[in-house]
Amino acid sequence: MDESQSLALESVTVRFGGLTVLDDLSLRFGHSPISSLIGPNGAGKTTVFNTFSGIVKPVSGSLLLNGKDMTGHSPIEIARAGVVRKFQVPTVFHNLSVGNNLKVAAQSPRIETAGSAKDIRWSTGDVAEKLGLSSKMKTLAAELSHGERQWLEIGMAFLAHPRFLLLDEPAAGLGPEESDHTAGLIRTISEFCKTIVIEHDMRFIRELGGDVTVLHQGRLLKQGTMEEIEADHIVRDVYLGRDADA
Amino acid sequence: MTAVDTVAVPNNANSARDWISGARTLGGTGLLLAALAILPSFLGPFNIVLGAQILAYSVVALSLQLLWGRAGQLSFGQAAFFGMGAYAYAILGTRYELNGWYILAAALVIPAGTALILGYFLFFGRVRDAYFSIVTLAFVLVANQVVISWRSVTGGDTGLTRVPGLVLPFGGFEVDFTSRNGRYYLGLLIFSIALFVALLVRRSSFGLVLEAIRDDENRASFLGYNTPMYLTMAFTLSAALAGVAGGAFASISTLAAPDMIDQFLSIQILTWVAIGGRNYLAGALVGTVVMRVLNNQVSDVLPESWPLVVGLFFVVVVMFFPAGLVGGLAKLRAQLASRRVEKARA
Ligand SMILES: Nc1ncnc2c1ncn2[C@@H]1O[C@H](COP(=O)(O)OP(=O)(O)OP(=O)(O)O)[C@@H](O)[C@H]1O
Ligand SMILES: [Mg+2]
Repeated sequence: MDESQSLALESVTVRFGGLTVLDDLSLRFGHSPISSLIGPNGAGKTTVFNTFSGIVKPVSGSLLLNGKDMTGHSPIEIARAGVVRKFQVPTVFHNLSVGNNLKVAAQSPRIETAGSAKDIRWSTGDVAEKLGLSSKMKTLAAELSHGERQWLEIGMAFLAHPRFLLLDEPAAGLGPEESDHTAGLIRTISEFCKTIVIEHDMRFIRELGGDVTVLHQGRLLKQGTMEEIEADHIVRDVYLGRDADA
Repeated sequence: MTAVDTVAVPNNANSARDWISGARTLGGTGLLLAALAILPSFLGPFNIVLGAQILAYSVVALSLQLLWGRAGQLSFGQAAFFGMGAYAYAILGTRYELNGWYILAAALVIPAGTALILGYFLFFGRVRDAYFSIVTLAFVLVANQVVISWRSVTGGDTGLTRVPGLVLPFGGFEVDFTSRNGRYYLGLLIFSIALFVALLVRRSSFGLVLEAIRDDENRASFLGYNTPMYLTMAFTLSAALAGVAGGAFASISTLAAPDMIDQFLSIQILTWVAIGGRNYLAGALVGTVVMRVLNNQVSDVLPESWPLVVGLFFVVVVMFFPAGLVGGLAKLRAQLASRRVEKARA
């Protein structure tokens, strides 16, 4: 298998106190430009991202980036190696302007690895235009709406030269139109780097396309295309059924 | 894919406007420095030395501003670095016949080196915010004890007197800062340099990253920034400025005394920055001038109760202008401007 573009966990177990949150989990992303990670609340999705970005250290198992063992590396090293993320709670620099937020992200240090990806150095202005924030370059991030802040954070993550971009619930709390704009943004971004998205909204995931990974109680339930996932009755029982009940 | 395919997109959409704002800042700064340069002809002999001291104090205020305003870490130890600079200058100046540059360099390098080591252990050891402030407070207490106990070198409680003024050789000739006016211009010189450094930091990406760290350090490190290193660098630069200020102060005052390296001075420095405005460069000068002049005036009139009056003034200003006097003024100007725009629309 081609390992030059992959982000993977191998037999990873993560425990918080007595609680096993990831249970001997093996996962691999990178075969598709966009992947979605779904699962009920508390399934361990955010913990998977936290393990990918070095915030959470597994008790056993390993983290592989492009086939290289990154287990135990610090969040800074992992970010520099190109795994960049957007948090579940939008975190931008509130007291900096939109323009300066983008600038800080664009100037962030990275490791040049020749031949790994199509590497375009974007200007902050171009990205602001794609985000729909061109007219707000001088506005403080604190003054943006929730949706705009989500986009700003996506833009920042994108400008930080990711090989893998991890987006934790980028459409949470957004209206339908904002949500569509977000999906469009993510599709554009996925032309330049592998993108992994955690989301609950199935409509949003369908719009993104790409493959889907279902997590349940810290274990891999199924990985496949959206059609395969929707056809799977176990998945429907533990997760999708929730929509029908609601 | 064979090679990195780099398409550089120039990022100069805002450069014209940046340039204009940069020119305006430089113009304003030049005007201020010019006004300060002709000031001695309007001051009496006593006030010239006071002015020189205030300029040196303003440098230490700028140094705290860099750390507290830009990087968000409040140091109670600023007087320790100021005092180290003052004592380095005074000890070397009274004991040896050294080239003025070496003495000045020692007043910079010793505090900066100390801050580099201390900052490294604190910031890489995840000491931040209130804990950082407490450790720096402890540091100034220790520094003060050392100065008082190490009598043979520091002169103990009395300190060192008859410290020679600074003389800096430039190739064939030398600039003598020992006269009364000379002392004032030494203060102005280091103030100008410190202001220039502070302006550079503000406009640099280093300064921008510090602000980002102040806002959300975790976010900055998830972008790949080595945030403890940035904070250590800010601390070191800040201590270097404070040390030079202390060295100049010792030269201007011709002495070094334990009250240049104690917690009370640290707290005073903090009040200057808070009164002026920690996010406005002009605030360092404004706050220092206001508080020093007020201090002198009130203590003349009320020899007993002046600390109470000065303290009350501080509390009132900070209550009504949480961003300091310069911050309050800037806000007022912005409000007036927006009202004018509304009127023009109506
Ligand atoms: N730092 C932590 N300390 C203790 N328990 C934690 C910690 N982080 C997560 N957990 C627990 O681990 C489990 C999985 O959490 P995680 O945040 O990964 O879920 P999730 O799939 O992202 O859920 P959601 O959809 O609600 O965001 C939860 O039971 C949570 O309470
Ligand atoms: Mg989550």
